[in-house]
Amino acid sequence: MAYTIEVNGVKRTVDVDGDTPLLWVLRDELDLKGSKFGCGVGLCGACTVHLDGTPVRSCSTPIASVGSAAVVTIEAMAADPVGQKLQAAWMELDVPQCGYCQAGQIMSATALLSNNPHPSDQEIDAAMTGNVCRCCSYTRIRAAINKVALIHATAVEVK
Amino acid sequence: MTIINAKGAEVRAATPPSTSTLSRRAVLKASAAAGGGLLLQAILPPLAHAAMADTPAAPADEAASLNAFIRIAPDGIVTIMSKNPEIGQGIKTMLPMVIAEELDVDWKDVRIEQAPLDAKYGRQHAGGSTATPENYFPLRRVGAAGRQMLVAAAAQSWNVPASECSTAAGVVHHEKSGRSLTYGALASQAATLPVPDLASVTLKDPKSFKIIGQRLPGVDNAKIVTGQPLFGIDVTVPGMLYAVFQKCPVFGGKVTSANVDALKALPGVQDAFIVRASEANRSGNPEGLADGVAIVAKSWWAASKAREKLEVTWDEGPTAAQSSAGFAQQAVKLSQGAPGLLFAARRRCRCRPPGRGACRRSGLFLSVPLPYRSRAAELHRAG
Repeated sequence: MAYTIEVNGVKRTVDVDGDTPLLWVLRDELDLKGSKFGCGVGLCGACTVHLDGTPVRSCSTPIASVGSAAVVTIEAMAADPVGQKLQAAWMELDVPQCGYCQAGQIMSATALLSNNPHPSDQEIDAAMTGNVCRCCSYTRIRAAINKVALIHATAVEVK
Repeated sequence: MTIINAKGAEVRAATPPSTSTLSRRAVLKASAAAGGGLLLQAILPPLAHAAMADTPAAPADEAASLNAFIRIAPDGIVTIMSKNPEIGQGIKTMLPMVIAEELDVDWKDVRIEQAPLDAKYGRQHAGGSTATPENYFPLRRVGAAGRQMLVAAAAQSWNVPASECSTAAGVVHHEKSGRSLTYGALASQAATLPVPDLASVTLKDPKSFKIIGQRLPGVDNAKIVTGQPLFGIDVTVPGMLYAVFQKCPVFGGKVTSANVDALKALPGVQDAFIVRASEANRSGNPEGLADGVAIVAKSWWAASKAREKLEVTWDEGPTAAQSSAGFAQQAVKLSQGAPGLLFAARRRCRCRPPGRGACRRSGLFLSVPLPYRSRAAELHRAG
């Protein structure tokens, strides 16, 4: 059946079964290939997108459950004030190795810093624990988040 | 013959290998690029591989292949093809660095293209940690040959000896007259000149390296952090279908029957069929095509959902009774009867035969289980 969802600020209508995971709607129906298929059961985080600002695993989010929630994907992060800072930090610190998990990592990190601009290392680890990286780029991921968190701190203090 | 190994030091890197193998089969081709500029293609034998194995000839299955492809456009942009698959080891960035170093161009002017999968490129695989030692000197020579041609073109236009010219960051200089020409301006002229003998080109002194030895960020980082299509799973082709394949859970097992007709009637499913493997695969090739059921659909999700409806009866065959516990028991039994099987333990300490009690010095028992080798799915970048 037809579902209309809001993806990256645009209303999109797709004709799929209600149990189709959001991930496959994004990738195969809407040609947004940034969100990745990893485990398919919500354990690895490669498919992470935002649903009204909350990070969710799109591989196990049926399209029928999305409703009117705003779906935001890695493709929209360059237009997100926090997301673009994280992307820049990811580049500067050369975070990716194979890169397959990094879209999901950035989505989780963006949600974290949007809600908590000055997380502790423990809070970073807690927020990022659902995103696994087979190349083990974890220390650089945390360094990149810290880098942006410090930029945030400075910006807030200047105000 | 001196050859750099996987952990080769700069000392060895400064001593290029003998060129006899290189000159025998290496071919460098120069031509005008579409839209102007210079196109360089190098067809190289697997030189280092043969040298490392200390054999006079390359293995028969390793024919000379297109190993380098460089395009210098009139605007000075240098496009270098990277032929090996990138899976996070950094090879897509590293191999072009070697060429760019000897070509003597600014890294910011370099664009890298991933070569498609094609037999003309020879072996294209990741694994074995040989890409750097195999390509280090051959690709440096290709870059140096390109630089030599651009210098020759400049010397020709200025009517000065090439030996009076120098290069830096994609520009040829003639200090005596204070003249300079960019590689972009020289590229079309260089394309008309004879190609140098790869074996005789002069390589840089490693002390003057500007690119090799630097930590340069991965060339795909921008695509990765913005979610642009890059990986094999991101590729689409017109009319593409998606398949899932259900293998027998037991190695060597076969399909007795499956409800393929019912599967074909499911929404989105285009086809469903039983796959029968060769006897060779059933008995000894865990990486080969196994027996199973393939379901082809318009989307991966449709294929995956159809698999949930799959009803299959397996003939699991003679290995169905095997288990990890059984392998462990077998290992203990064999270690007691034939201590030579645990050679690694014996080499470390010969105080007791393996399986006959703890080591007298360390107090440790040593057991070395050798399970079936596993093979992780590799996610090659395609773009």
